[in-house]
Amino acid sequence: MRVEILLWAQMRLAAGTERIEMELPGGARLADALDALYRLHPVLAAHRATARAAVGDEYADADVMLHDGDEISLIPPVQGG
Amino acid sequence: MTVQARIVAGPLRIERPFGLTGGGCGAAVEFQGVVRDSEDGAPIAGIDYECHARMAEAQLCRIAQQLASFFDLEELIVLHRVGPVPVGETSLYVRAIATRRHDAFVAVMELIEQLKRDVPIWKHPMPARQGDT
Repeated sequence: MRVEILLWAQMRLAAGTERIEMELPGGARLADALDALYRLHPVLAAHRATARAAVGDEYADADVMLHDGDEISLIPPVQGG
Repeated sequence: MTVQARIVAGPLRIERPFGLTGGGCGAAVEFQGVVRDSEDGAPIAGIDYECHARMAEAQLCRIAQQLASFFDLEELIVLHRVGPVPVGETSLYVRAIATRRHDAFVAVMELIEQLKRDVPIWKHPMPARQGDT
């Protein structure tokens, strides 16, 4: 299945792109997508400890099951206000 | 109960005059977050707010609905401006109307705390040009 990863703020700047498409095996969980992302794009690994992940518009736990076409957002610490 | 949570590009316009509370409400609390003229000690011209707009609006709506329900508010409005915001202009507007002041004050404070924790918005300070300060 195919998922799309959206990058924001300092992660977008570090990667030089705002979206990355990934091919994952069926049954993959969010943790699998993140493992693959950080392995393929080590420039982002420094953010792993602080970035939260969302699937669609909701924050998600690492064990959530992914589906074809899911949109994953990586959210570095937010700064609204 | 009226709940409104929006991400706005461009200056914030408050659509209803402040203070129209209806007969049963004794407290209307309004907060405006304003862009300061420095960030981490360095002078700035403003802040360019980056935003995951769809998710930010969904998170703001969730937070506002939960707080309005918990504090039994008559009204809760939150507007967050995104894109470039010059120094001195409003980036965040919150208004809570409640029966009593405690609920209105605490709801506004709690909304801002949750916004700063969960709503995907990021600041990019815009450096002041020489002669701006």
